[in-house]
Amino acid sequence: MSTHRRIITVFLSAIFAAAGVSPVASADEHEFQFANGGSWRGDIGHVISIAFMENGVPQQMEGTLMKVDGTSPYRLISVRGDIAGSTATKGIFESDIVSMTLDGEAPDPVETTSSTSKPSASKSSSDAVKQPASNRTASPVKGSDGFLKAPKRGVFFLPWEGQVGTLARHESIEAIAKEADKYGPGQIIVLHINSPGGLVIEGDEISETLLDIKRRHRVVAWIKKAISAGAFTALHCDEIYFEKVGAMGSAVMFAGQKSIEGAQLAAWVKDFGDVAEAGGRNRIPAECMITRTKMASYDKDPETDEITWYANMQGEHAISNNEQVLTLNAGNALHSGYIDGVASTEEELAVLLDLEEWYEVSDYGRNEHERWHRLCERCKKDVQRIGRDLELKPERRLVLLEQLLAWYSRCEPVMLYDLGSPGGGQDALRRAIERERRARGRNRRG
Amino acid sequence: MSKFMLLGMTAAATFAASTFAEDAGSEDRSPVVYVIPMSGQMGTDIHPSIYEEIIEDANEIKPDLIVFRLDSADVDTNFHIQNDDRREFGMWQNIEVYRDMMTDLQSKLPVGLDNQVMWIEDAVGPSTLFALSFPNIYMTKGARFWGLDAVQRFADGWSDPDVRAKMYAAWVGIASGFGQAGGYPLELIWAMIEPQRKLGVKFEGREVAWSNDLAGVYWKIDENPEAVARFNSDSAENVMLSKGTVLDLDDLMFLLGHREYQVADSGQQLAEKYVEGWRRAFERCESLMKDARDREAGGTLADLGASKKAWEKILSAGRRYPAVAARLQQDYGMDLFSIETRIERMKKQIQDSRKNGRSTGGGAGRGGRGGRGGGLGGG
Repeated sequence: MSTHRRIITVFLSAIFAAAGVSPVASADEHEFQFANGGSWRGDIGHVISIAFMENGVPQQMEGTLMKVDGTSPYRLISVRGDIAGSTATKGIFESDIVSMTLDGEAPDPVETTSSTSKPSASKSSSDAVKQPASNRTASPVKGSDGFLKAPKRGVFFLPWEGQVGTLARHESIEAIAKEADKYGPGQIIVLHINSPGGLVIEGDEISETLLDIKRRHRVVAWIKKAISAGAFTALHCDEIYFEKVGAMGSAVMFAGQKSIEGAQLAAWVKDFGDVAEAGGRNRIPAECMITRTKMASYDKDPETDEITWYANMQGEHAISNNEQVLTLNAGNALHSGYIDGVASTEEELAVLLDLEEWYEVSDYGRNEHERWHRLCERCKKDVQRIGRDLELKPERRLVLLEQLLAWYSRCEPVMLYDLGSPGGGQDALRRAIERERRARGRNRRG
Repeated sequence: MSKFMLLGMTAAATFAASTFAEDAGSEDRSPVVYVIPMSGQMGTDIHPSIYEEIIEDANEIKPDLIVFRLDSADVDTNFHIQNDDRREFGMWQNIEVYRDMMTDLQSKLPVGLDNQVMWIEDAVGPSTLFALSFPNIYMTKGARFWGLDAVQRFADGWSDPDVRAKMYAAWVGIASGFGQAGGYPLELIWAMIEPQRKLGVKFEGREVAWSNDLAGVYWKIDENPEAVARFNSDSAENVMLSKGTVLDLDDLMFLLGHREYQVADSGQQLAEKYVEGWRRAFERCESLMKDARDREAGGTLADLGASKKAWEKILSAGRRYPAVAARLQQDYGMDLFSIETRIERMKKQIQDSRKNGRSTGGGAGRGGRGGRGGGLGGG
């Protein structure tokens, strides 16, 4: 052990002594291997600096390694340190760790490419995540204006798939915009939307995020499926393109089994129309996506292709009558000029975007998407497994409850909305863990 | 009228033939045709897991033409005998999986969509949706091409009329995307999905104009507001939905302008091997399930161990073949996690029994049944 590490250990002992806690004397050394090729080996009680992913967002904290539970690759470590201004213990899963260093040691040489502004209990990381740059032909260089320069004109591509609010989130849109910001204003951000819709509350966040991003970048929706909140998101964008299989609409808002009505419905119809207009589109078809009571038809000038919309069925081309909710497909969306084009491949989209070829300036969006979706999938499987183990392995109850609680900080939207707050939510889980600890303490004393 | 149709058809066939013939003729050899069989149940026999392998194989072979040979009908042709096995009906819940499978096939195969041919031997159910995503359709004499009315029933579970309308519109929109990918107009697709839509055609030169409004159409295809539009090989050809009616592959290739051609049959072999493999595995699973339940009822530790082993084999088959997993779910309501849980429970039961001293004689296989009472002494 280096002199430096010895000093840290001494310092640590002093802290524990001051806190009236004995450092855990452990003969077991723990070793971790990370996806970026780095590794860490150390003991319980070491003060560490740790970079990890939380809800798909890079985070960093310093603190004391309190314990390591479980077996690799499913170990759960507890780190006690400063969280949002107060001292608390945080559970972090092994697979979420990006890097770990003993406090004061040089961190792994990892490249900085991203950070997000998501508010969190712990500090945001600026040097945590290494992004591969496999599809970049050359490293970007910084120009005299302070912005990175891509070797050629391209796009920032973000696959935006799954339920809005859990899998498809405003955070990922914010993150890709931050990535684009490094290259200066005027970048092209492509959201490849394949979503069945989702949470209304997320819609508000998405709206705010997109309206902000549109002030400095060109935001494009490329749609495979944009249903409900997916359509709401797409309508914000500067341009909309469909894949040939594309579908957009069906945005009736409902809770439980019941659709909204009255003032709430009127407000939603207005919001939807406003969003369509803000995106440069007519509000009449957009409103037909919300309720059966609205109608839309249009005339198309054969010479100029100019479209005249009607909020009734008087136009030559019917789009939606008052018996149906509107979902547009490529054919009617293009003919009515409601979208800007149809592209089934990236190369076809590049042509429509007036690019020489399809080129992705950064692979940040794809990586981010994959990482988050993988995490959500793991969360669902693991929570299912924890539920079963709680029944079959009562002797492991404490560890299992801690694992369950840790999933709330790793993947909160899935825990809350997809899995219905397993364990009764975070507070209930904390209480259950506390009770379990007390019961164990009593048993030991007994 | 029929003369006009015939002329139209001849023109279509000639155009297609010249396209393919030019490609093949450029290298002065007979074209290589790669046949991809799509036979059986949509969602099991016809599943993306097998086509990934086929795409790879086709890319190695680099054929001139690809023919999808589709034979997947949910119902028999004899409507008077209720002999259809519902377990073999196409799985509609996978509609988006089929969409992605279709886009993968269309974009990753070594020839473009112009040189991909959809040959329908029979299509009733979700297979029709899949077929509609190809612009070059040929049909076997007597083949059916319908069965999409199931789509509009996806929303039936919603009691609120507005929510039902939303779900209805969403599913019809998603399903319509298939036909749009094939270049077919929404009027045709809607009429094949929605009973309330009527369907007629007008002819504008060589073009067919489809309409849901029957006023002024030359030919009414579907006037019934309670039934969807259905096609067979004849009616589909008459309205140029099918580019030709064929007897077999020779006939198809002849229509495409090739008197001579070579067949690359490795795709066929891969598909047959896969179907044979999963179906054999599923049959074995069914018999293992019966054994497992019988042994579990035996109650001894040995019985429990044997039952656990049987479930482990079932789990392993389900993991290997997505089709087996799908059928376990559909036919028995069991997903892989529930099987895993069953196994974990058994493990615990065995462990507990051993701890409690019930293991005596447990290794004696079926004969161990006599040990039932033995466990009582554990306390």
